[in-house]
Amino acid sequence: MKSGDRIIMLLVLIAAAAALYQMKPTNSSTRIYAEVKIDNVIQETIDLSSVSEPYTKTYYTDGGGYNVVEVRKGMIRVVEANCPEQVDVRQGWISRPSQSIVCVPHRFVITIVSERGDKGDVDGVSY
Amino acid sequence: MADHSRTRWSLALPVLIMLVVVVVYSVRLPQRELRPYTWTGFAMGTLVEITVYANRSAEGAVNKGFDRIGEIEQLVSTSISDSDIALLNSAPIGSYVQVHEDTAYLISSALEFARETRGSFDPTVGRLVDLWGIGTERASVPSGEAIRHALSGVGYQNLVLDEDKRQVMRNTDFRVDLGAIAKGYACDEVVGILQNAGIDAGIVDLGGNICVFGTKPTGQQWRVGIQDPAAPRGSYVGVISISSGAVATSGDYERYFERDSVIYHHILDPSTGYPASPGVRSVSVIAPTGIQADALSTGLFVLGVDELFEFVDRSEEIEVVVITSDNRVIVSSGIAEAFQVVKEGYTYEIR
Repeated sequence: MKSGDRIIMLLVLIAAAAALYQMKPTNSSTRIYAEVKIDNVIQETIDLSSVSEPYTKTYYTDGGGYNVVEVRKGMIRVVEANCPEQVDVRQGWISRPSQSIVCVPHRFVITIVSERGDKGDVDGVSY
Repeated sequence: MADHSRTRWSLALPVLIMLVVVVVYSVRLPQRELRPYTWTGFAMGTLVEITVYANRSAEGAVNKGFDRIGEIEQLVSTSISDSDIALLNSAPIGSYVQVHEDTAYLISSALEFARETRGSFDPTVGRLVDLWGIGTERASVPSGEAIRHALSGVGYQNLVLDEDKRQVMRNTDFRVDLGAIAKGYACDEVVGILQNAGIDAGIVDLGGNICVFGTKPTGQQWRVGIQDPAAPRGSYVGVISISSGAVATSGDYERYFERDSVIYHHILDPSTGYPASPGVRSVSVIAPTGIQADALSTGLFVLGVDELFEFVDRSEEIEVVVITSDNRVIVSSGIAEAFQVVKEGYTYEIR
């Protein structure tokens, strides 16, 4: 093998290593989290990607309000709440960054966020 | 020998180029990624999110923004008994009421949008809004007679503003409701406050009314999703990329109730007194300001597809994304290139 060949081989190896390094973060960026907030205070950040058994949990808000949340792998919803319009219950399951469930009377918000804590592919959604 | 070295270099050159590309790419990507900070709050009956690309010291400006939203709400809310609008609505017909500068500006703008849309957007439908109560616990289908009565005084021509004196008068028996314009105005006001505080870039989301300003540290444009009417909030059919301005959407899915398998949504047609049924599920308006986007999204929804596109053709400032009841997504030609299709199950058209 001539020295020129060695240089070329070395370059190829470096390029391959650099390419692999680049690919690494994309593999783990599929994790999603549900941020549960009451009155702007984060109550809990649930790693939806690692939920093994489905479960429900009740959050209590000021003035006797409550929202019952059901969590499954990769998704979350409100199954029951004592707010008048049931907007949050009607929303159903959410599972993608930028999706949210809002219960205005209880100031209760669930937002799906990406691993980076943002809305994923968009800066906002006009609804 | 000469042939060999040519072969070797013809092999080495692409590899070298690839190496340079990969190295440049990998060095560039992790470069200081200025993270966005988001503050959330509740105002004007909705969720407010203010996101800025800055450090924690932006908090003061953001708080001023929230305070400003609260001020505007205090002036125009129909449920706050001493708001300008509540006082106007309870004042005797034919007598002037003194209002604050913001209220006068909002009424002046509302009248302008009402004229532009020939009354499809009308700030005098307050009594109808109350009667239907859509989005409240007492939502119900009113009797035909009740609707005719509530409709009888409606007409923006009967709302009189003396701009110099900042005085407003109702000429007939109607109630003013600025619910379809105030959030857009508040959005603009918050942007102004953040810019004055020296914040380079940010996005204000006032219940789906979105205003953006400045350039993100990545240099990319702002990406605003257009809500899918058939999916949970935050799901989008496509994405609009903009560098500044506002996007607001009026849709039949946001506030509604169901009686006897009929859906009654909150966008009322000022000419009939019933929820508008123009074959449209949502209209998103992309405009230079939030106040335009907010008011016109409501007005254009009521107009229906054909008339609203005539309006867009005449206008030099606004673009639209319209989702119809038969699952078409129609994008106005001026923004077609900035629109990215995301969701299958809709047919996409440019008009």
